[in-house]
Amino acid sequence: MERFFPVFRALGLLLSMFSLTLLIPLAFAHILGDGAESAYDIAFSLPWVAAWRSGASPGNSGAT
Amino acid sequence: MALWCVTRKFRRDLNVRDGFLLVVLAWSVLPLFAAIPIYTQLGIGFTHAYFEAVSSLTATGATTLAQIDNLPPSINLWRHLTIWMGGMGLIVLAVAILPMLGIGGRQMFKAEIPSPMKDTKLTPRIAQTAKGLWLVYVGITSLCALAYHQAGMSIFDALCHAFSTISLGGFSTHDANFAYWNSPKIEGIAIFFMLIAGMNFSTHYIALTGRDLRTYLRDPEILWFLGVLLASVLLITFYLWGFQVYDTSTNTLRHAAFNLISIATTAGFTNADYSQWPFFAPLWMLFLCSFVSCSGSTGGGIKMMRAVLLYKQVYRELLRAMHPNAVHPVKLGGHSVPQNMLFAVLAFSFIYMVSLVAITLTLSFSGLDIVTAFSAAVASLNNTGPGLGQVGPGGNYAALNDPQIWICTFAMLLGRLEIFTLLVVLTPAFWKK
Repeated sequence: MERFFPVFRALGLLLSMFSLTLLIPLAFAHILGDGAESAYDIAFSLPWVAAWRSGASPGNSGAT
Repeated sequence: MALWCVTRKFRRDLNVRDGFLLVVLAWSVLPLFAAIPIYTQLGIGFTHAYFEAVSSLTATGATTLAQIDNLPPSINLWRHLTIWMGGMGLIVLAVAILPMLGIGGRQMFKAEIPSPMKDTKLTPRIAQTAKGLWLVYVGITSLCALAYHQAGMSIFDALCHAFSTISLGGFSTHDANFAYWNSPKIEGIAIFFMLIAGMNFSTHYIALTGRDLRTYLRDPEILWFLGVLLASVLLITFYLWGFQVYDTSTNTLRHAAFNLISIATTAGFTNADYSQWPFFAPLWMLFLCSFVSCSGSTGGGIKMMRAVLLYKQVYRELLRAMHPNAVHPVKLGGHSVPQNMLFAVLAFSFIYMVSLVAITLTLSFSGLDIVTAFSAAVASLNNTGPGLGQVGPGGNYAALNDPQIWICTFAMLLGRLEIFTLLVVLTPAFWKK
């Protein structure tokens, strides 16, 4: 399994970057008040909640 | 984020196998995130939300949504933004950024870029190449948005449709698609930019950096691309004119040109319900979408270069039958094409045909009529969007049941990853140490 970790690392980075793109429609929804704000709040916060739930943090290497 | 945190100590250069796995994982997992706003806001099922997200990120443009005009603007923006990102390949964007973060991207780029000549490099460093391609992509998108706005679209519509045009996606902010404006000027702009997007972005890059427009004339694939499209537009115009589908010849040319170029380049915009045309016309358009787009473009299908090589190889075999001892190299643009590339093209074309037949038969087995099954398979595998029958421009993929939607979702991924990338990960040999 460990041989795939570099792939997962790149995938994690890719997902993090992708989640940042949600900020664009999120800002747009807030500016227009089109009622879809909560959808982006959820979508944007999910990766961060996942990170918190896994106990990972930037200071935690997690290399187990 | 969690994945990255847990695995961030495992740094090493990605090899070819890693590249394949990463691309497949990215294109399967990213739609999960892209689907969340659609799923939570629109209250549609997970199957439809994931389908919509895959359709966006593969720049297919197929949809199950109705009353698009009434969607919250931010949802429409999100759909078009994802289709734009998917068009050129989110991986290419990542290749431009990941090297700065210590991740080599050469293998990812090789697996992702839609071209039969994957080893062709524009600049010595792969990241520079990706950045160059993205700059061209952003520049052309900006020009397209400006042109749409000048022609009468609102800023929001112009931006969304520019995203959708340059990615050859085909999403629109209106149910009526381009018929909403009923403007030959807007349709002309769309045709111009669909043609631009259907060409190899490497050629755009070389032409722009070298400031030499003759680069386009030196690219045999582009000449074939334009030639086939021009001949087809004339053919369909005369065909429709013969059936008196439209009242004037100008009107016939306008509708034939827009819909044909849109479907053939795999964009999927419409300004008329072409499924009501005499059957040969939409069938020819669907046939074109399976090979017309150039390699290195945002279009789908087997790509024009492969089609030309196949044609030349068939011609060589005919010559060989007449002159068995003569040497007949296959040439493209004055250069002999290596034998291994010809074998790769043959293998790809074979697996493409097998995939198309398998998807059509599976959809047919699931209960769809043969026209809908075949056109849905063609439109999904080539990342075109609209097909014929129930999935034609008059309807959409909402007519399909959940298993059929999943089959089309798989077909879109298969087409976007040029079949081999996905299939190679599914082989047992891939997982052996």
